[in-house]
Amino acid sequence: MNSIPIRLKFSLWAAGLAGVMLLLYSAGTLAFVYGKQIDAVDQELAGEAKHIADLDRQAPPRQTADEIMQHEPWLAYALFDGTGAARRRSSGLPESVAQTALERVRPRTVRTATYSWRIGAFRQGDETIVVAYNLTEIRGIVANLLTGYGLTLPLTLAVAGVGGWWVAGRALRPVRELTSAAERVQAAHLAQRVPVPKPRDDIQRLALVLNAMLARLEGSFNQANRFAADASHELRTPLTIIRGEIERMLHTPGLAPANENRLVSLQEEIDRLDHITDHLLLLARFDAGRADLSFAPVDLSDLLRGVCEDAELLATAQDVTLQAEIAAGVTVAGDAGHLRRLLLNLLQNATRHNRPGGEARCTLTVTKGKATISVANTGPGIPPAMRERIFERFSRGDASRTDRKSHGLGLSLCREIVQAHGGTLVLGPERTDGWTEFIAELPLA
Amino acid sequence: MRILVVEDERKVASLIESGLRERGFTVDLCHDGDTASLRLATETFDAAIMDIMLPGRDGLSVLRKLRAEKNTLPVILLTARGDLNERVEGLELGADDYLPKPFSMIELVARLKAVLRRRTGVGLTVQQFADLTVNTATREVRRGDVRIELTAREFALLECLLRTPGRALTRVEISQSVWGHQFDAGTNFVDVAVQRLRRKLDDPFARKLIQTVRGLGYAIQADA
Repeated sequence: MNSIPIRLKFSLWAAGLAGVMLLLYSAGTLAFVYGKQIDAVDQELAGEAKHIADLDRQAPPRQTADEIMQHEPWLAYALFDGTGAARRRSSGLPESVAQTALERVRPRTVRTATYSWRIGAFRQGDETIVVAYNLTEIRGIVANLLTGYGLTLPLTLAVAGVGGWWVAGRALRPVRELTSAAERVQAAHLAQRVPVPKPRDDIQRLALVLNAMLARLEGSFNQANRFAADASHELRTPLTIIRGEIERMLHTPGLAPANENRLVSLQEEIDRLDHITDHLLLLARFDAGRADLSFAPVDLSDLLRGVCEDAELLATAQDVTLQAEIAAGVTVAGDAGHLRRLLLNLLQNATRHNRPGGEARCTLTVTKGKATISVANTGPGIPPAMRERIFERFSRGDASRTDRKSHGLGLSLCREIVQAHGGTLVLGPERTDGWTEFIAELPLA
Repeated sequence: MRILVVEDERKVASLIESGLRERGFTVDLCHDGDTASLRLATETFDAAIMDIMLPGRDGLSVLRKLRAEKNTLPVILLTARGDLNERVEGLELGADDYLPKPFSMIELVARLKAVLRRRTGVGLTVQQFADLTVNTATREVRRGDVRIELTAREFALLECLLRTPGRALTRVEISQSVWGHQFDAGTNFVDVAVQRLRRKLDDPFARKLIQTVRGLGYAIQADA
């Protein structure tokens, strides 16, 4: 149901409502017309009873009822004497039918094999005369009305449907215009606003609300933008000072070994903080849409080979064997610095979340016109519950918040980098052999 | 050697100042771009270390004016890391080197010396320690008469250790200097790299040069 456009829904509703209205109206008029006709017939019956009784009395005994009624063929009658026997009877009115009228006070409608009758019984002295009025003509009127309504129904449905479509189209036009205007307001043109229509109606309100929302969005966007620029400077100045002072103290002669150890530990923490700052600021830049990527053809094969050489040191330090299969001459259009960071982060992850004696494998291939980088590793793997959240900030695959080497920003940054290059980064399907694989696809240059 | 340090953050400025003084440089400080521009135009320095983000005229603009005046003074720019565009612009404007914050004084001094050497031709391209000879221009490494082949990273590691002969460098300092700011996976890999360098530089020889300083890091030091 959700896929039906509002305009069509509106049109269907209009047609449906018009149809129901017409049906109710038809039923109402038919019942009314028929009722009126029957009332008239009932009144006529009483009058005709006296008239027919006179005719009957004056007619010769041999004359049949049909002959007596030859000038009023829509009427039939049966005359019962005091004993209840039919003295004279129209052939179209079976005696059994006529008998039933005797039991009733009010006229009623009866259907025989040939016609529908309205029959009533009237006492004339000792005798009772049963008069029947042939309803064929009235039924004909009703049938004609019914045919008329039947022919009108499809026309009404069509008019209501098309009308509904047209009205809905007119009513929805400002909404459509608003939609496409809102679509045009992309992240880069957040300063734009949707046009506000003049009439003070629902649509104007919608436009105003939309504009207020855009203003708020623009505000927070600009704030994020400023944050990315300012925080960079503001965070790095104290880091520089702390780092410099630690270094100075470390290289002061005559330092007690215990203090030396403390300073080395502090230096490592500052380094860690520095890396987290780096990642956060880069993510902030990506969020603010000002990552300032400088695109140029990058020999991904060369880049990856270099990164693997460095990553091999990491792997060896973690007692992990790193294997690389790199197709030659794969070139993509990209920002070499960011791509390097991407590859390093992926390889670092592969060695970090591994087990002693484990393996890591990195391959670069060209598949389906894309540069495909696969980085796989043995190790504890990623719990199924975490698979969805692995690219979120500060999330960690092994859910071990105690793993101090990982700050959980690397993968989200990786994904931002890949997406900025028009590519995709996904976690490979779950495997039973204990390997975890990340696959990055980048468009070729 | 007289160096002009242009840095608006006083603490960073004094850090650089004392670091350079300890190593025998004469240091002049100034804290904004306009003063820097004026002093560079009227006084003589051997090099300048300049922050990009400055009050008044910014570092890039000071540099642009300097080069427009045909002044070839060696300049090292300092800036917050990650501003790749600033870096590219800085180098295009004629900066001699670029160092991202937070930086290490050891690194800054090494870069400064390299820049001065390139510009003035003064300073040694050949460094010697015990029987070790390292030519930073040709990248040739010898122990005595034996030539030792090193990869680019191994050479950078050796060069880094040779900056402070007899004094230990920590793993973080080594990692920063040789690998830049790329690994955030701790510093264990420095041990692996040092072991590999040792295999080539020390293992074939009786006299070991690379020493492990417990709890601190590594040093180039001739063992007894």
